Amino acid sequence: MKKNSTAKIGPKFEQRIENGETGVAFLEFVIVFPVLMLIFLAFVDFGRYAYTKNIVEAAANRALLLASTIEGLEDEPGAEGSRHEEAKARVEAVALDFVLGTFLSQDEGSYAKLEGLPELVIPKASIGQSIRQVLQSEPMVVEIDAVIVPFLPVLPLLSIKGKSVGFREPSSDVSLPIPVDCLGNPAGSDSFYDYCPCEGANEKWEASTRACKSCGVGGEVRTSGTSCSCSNELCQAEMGPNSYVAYSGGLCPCKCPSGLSTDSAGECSCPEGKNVVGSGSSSKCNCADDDEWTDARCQDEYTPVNAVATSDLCGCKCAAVTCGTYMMQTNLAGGCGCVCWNGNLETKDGGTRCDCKNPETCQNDRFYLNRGDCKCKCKFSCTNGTMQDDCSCKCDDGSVRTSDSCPAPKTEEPPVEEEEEGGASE
Amino acid sequence: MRARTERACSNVVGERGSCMMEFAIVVPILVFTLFSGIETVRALGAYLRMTQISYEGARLAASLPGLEEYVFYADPVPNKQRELREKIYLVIDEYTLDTSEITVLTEHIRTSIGGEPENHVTVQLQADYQPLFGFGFPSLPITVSSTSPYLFPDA
Repeated sequence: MKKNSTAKIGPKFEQRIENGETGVAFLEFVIVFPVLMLIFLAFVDFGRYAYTKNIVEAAANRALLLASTIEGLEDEPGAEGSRHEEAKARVEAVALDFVLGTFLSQDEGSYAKLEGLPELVIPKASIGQSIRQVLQSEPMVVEIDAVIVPFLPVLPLLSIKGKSVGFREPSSDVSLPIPVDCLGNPAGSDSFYDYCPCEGANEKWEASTRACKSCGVGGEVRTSGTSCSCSNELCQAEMGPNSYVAYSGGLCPCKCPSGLSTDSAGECSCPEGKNVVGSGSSSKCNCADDDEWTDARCQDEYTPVNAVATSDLCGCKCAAVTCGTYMMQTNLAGGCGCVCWNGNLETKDGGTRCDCKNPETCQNDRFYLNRGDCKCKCKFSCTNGTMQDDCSCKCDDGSVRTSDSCPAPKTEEPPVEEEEEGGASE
Repeated sequence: MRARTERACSNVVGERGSCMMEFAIVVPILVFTLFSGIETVRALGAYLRMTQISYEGARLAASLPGLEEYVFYADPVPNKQRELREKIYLVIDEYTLDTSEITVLTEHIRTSIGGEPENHVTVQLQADYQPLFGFGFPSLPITVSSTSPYLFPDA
């Protein structure tokens, strides 16, 4: 017997087909499923956040507990045999080990990773205060930063900070010695580390850093005790035996005497071809073969009779001569004579003066002959007007001037508007 | 089309709008539940942080030499007890808490109950949790305390 096909799928489904509701459940599932997934992932991320927070807090607590009791943390940082840094590093290592023992890691690609390294923050000691005193009065802080990448795509990176704050356990050893400075001044006293004698000759005590500091050359001048003094020896050790120290405005700069300058090695020395005579501030430069340069040798070597020896140049130069009008003196290479200013001029009167070869004829006495180019130039300038060809000045008001410029035009003041009295009239 | 819309919530004729009614009833409940969850988590966080601070305070108190015998509300507060409280306030200052100002109380008791000598210190913190959402959520009083044996014997 052949069965009806609708009988196989049941009467409910048959009714749904009649109502046009086929596929509704699937459609509802498609709509609801992403929402459910988002809620699910949000719960997962919240759980991961809470768990990670718990881990970093626990790590910070454990590290702080160690910091409150570990030996060496109260040693003065930087002091000889101090275990301060070692103790601090150990506390931070404990926190790091704790965190890395969980699912947190330091890998960049990790979904839950540490940001930086755990840090033990110890309050800063002020001058005259030992670190032991600071740790008794201020709390320490252990900080750990972590970040998790959420599974829920719409969430940003979740930053998590683990923090634990607490005090160093007070020591029951009340007989601990009170720290003293180099002169035996106890910590907390007004003079604690105010001054310590320095061993080096060129050092002074610097109270702000509680250390000896090299004065350096040209250091500050101070009274003895915390002093850096001016001394030629310091300069000469730095800039050679020809230098000296010059006290100036509380400073001791090193200088070279006149004629000497610092060379490439930073020492005071003479120019090439000269020798240093003397030392310190009295040293000066003399020519290396000063005695061999004489006037006769110069006249022989350079021919001109007026060549003379000079100690400035360690050689020869022309002796000063008087040249005629529009003439100038030449140097050794020019024969130590007199020549005309330029090529437009020529010697006149038996070579005693120079003048233009082809002088321009000037129109009137308002011109003068310029010996540079041998052209006529006006003796005066024409401002506030127009210069004419005959060297006269035509002013804007029509007048002509032959010896000076035109007067400046008067600036007209804007007319003052009289206020109408009586307000608006008809 | 109209028939399908009606069927989405009810198959019974005359029940149009029931879906909206249900939604209007459920949404406030859901919102209240959500906000309650957030407030609970924040309050719990504040409670845990205060617990941690009180633990830290008790640890400090236990190792602080010369702590006077004293009960929570006695007046005046002795010097060492005051110093202890000030240090605990310094720790509190390092944290950001969702509470009103915290009151720190300390106690050091030396006694003998039933022949057993007692020598312990207690640190108690009191504050009100401040709700994030103002509507309807009360400020929750939080009191935490930690007790530790005092490390120093009778003087």
